[in-house]
Amino acid sequence: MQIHMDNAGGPIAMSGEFTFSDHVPFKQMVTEIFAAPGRSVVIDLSKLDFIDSAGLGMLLLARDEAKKNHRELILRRPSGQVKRMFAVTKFNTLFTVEE
Amino acid sequence: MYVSVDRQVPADAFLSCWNGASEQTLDAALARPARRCIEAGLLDRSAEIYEGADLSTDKALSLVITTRSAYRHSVVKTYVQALGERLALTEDLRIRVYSAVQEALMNAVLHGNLRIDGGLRGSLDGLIAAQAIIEAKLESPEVGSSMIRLDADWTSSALAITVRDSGDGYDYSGVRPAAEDGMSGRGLEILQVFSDRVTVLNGGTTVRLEFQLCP
Repeated sequence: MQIHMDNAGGPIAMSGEFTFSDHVPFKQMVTEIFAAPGRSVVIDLSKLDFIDSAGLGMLLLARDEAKKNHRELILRRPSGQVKRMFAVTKFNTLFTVEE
Repeated sequence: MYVSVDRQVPADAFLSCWNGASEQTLDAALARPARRCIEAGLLDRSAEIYEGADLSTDKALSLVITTRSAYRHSVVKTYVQALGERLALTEDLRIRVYSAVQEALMNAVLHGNLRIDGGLRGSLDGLIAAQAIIEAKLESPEVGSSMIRLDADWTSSALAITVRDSGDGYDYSGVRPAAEDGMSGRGLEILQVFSDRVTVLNGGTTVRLEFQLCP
């Protein structure tokens, strides 16, 4: 999994496969984005090819971290297998998901 | 050249060896006509691993790897690609097979062979704590080199994939569905939704996933 962040406050993008073994860079990303000021955080998933149950669990942990910091986490444009996993696990009801 | 053929087995056994280095070398080791692929460190156990197995069929693909490599490489992605070169997988079926086998494999690695406490997945700090434990276990020769095995066999109408670990087993009957916003517990649900049949065997060390193939 790759994480693309810019310093201008634009959306964060994830690409590749997001599975359990990506938890170290994901934790680092979460720490960085909630250390910076702002209201909502957008993660662009349009280039993310694959997610497993551990990846879904980590997104929920990031959502909880956002709530603690009075922020909103928005997931943008999941597609393919990721969109299907969101549907199977009813993730659309747990997050703001932008198509 | 990454692929080597074990000259000590019959030439028609179609056995290849993976050096454990990368997805690219795994892709080469799984290329046709290989039917069985074993990671280099486990090659001396090939006779024991395949004792009693039907080696004559060309509608099968077996992969035997270490826990270390199963954790560090995108093994399932490469394995499903190799299956797709041998039988027609629609995009729908490819997604279902990839998703279900990934869940079964990570369950085999984390809970079967590494015996990681599921409670550590309940927080980001817990995951970081788990990482130190995982790395220590992966460096241990006994645990890091313990075996994970994937076996696929198919007909014109069905595909079955079996994932086996080397652990002590797991009681799936006690697994409850995840709460909707629970951090974990979705793995079994994903196996059930994406495959047509799930069977847990050998005290929980083996999961068999079956998929109907479109005519």
